[in-house]
Amino acid sequence: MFNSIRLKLVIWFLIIFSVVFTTLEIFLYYKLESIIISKTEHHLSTTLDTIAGLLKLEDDHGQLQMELVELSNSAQGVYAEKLSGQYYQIVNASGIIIARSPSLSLADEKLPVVTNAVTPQFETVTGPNNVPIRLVSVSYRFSEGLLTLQAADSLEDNYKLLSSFRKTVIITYPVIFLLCGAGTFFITGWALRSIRSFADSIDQISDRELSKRINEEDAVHELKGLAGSFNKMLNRLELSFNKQRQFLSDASHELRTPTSIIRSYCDVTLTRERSADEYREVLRKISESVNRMCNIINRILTISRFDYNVVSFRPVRVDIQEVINDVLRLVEPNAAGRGIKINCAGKDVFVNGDREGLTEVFSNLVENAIKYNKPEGIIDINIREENGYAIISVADTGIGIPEDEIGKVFDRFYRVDSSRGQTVGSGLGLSIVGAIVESHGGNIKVESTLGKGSVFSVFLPLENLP
Amino acid sequence: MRILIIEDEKDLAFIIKKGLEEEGYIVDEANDGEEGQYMAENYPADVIILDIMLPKIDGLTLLSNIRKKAITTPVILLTARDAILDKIKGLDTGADDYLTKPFVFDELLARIRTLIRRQSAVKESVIRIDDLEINTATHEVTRGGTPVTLSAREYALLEYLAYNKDNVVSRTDIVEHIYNEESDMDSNIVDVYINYLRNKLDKDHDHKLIHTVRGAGYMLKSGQT
Repeated sequence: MFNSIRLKLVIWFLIIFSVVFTTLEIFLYYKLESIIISKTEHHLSTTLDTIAGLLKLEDDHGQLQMELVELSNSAQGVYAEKLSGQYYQIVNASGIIIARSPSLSLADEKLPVVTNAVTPQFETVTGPNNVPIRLVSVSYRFSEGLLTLQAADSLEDNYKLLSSFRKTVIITYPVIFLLCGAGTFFITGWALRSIRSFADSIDQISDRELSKRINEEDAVHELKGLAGSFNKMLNRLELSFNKQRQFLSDASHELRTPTSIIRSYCDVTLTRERSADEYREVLRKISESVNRMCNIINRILTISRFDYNVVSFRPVRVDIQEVINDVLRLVEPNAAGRGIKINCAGKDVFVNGDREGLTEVFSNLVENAIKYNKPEGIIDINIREENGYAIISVADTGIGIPEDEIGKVFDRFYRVDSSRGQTVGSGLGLSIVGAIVESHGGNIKVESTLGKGSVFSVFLPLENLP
Repeated sequence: MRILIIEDEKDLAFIIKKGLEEEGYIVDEANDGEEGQYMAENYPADVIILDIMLPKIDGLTLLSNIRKKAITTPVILLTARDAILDKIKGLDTGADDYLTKPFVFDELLARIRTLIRRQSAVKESVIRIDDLEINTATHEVTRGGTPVTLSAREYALLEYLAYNKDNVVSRTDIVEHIYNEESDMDSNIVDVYINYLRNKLDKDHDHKLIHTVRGAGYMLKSGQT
């Protein structure tokens, strides 16, 4: 449940939404507050400037006292209304209020007294009637000494505005939050629907229908790449699946022949009493078939070992010349028996690999060269190096491989025309060779002329010298 | 009864042949498709046992080739493949039966008998002609309840006559169905074997079953003549 893309998307969206929305609202709130304060301050400064201007003018004419009385009694507009929210007062150096606006005096209120404010002082304090006010105080020097002019505006209305802004935000926040969450939920569901239909089309490809492919054209733009990758993977799967199936069916076919020989020998022999000689002959046949089966099974195991890297060999430095010499000792009696001459030419080359595996490779190739050679034939083994590869070629003067079958020689259980009676061997040899050479990072090439002979060339990467 | 085995695995062909011969069948053997087709076309057999995977000409091709030439000999396909589609393909091509390797030898025998019966008017494994009883499964023969001991060759001849009861079979038919191609038989030898059979079956009975049809051959016939 918590591992769903949809849920994660919704949660992440809501987290980001909350952070952005909250930050924005907080920013707007403080911005609004600062606009209000600066507007109020501007108004207060203007008021003070006017009062200061009037006082200066009258002071120059020696009529400061008169003007102070004037300011206290004859103010107009909001300053004349009791507790109107706009106030001023004038304080002398000793902190005694010498004049104040009727809005204060009518209610017998005063602003908090400030003396000696050489630079304008701004503060928010609680004013008359317990209402918050913004208070500005500036001191000027007049003929009577230092007078501090103070003006204040009520912030009550502005605070009401801010509080209603806050309320609006708090009420709308959960609504917007829920709407956005639901929106994201539906949008992601819609977006993920194409993934679901993609999954449906993948579901239709079972192991029985591996040849089916996802239609890349039909996939939405964002999934085309995925469809392509899937199809590529299916290609690889189908290939290896078919190879496996073929291998299994070939292997069981190959095992069935000796099994049916054993079975038939037993069935027929048991129908009546036989002489000891007959029983002996039957047992010999059965043991021959069992050997054949063991051989096939061993080779199947070797192939799967190298195919699936069940046993990963530890590469050691291998001298190819030595491997070939071992192989030649191994096949000598067989070759001599058929009057076949083996020539070996070349230099010492070294590769990193599995010595046993490589011996298997070359003994298979040389044994084939003997098996399919004509009597008194010749086998040429050549070892050389080229472009970082050791190239070992085994050429025979045998029956050759038909051109259309060259590609098949590395298939499991392939045999050149079994009608020639040379059904010895399991037909697994070359596929083992192929598997081992591949596991060494090398490859193998076959050239053949029907009736003249074949050349098998093995390419192995040379050892990396430091 | 004459059987042709077409099987490239020589050991297997050998033991099947041996087993069938011990059952009194005459068996020819071919080890590849070409040879098999030649044998099937030139030596009439009663049943052909055909391997599918054969060198030179594969079994199914061989089968369709001989069916095209109107050779209707029943064919049992023998193969290591048991894929159901292969079976259907084999039967569609004209095979009469199918056995998957490895098989039980007795099953092969039973199926051969079934195919031979299907070819003949006789539909049971025990053939009765008046008081003569031939059990084709056990090769036991009785006349009037008394067991009669026959050699393999004699039994083969009797069985062939019995499957074609009330029909005339020529000496050539007999040679073709109870001798394999290796034995270079003179058709006169048939007369010798007919005599052996008469001695064992008809001699002590007034009612004779084996009849000579002058100029045509022999016939195993029920009822009084």
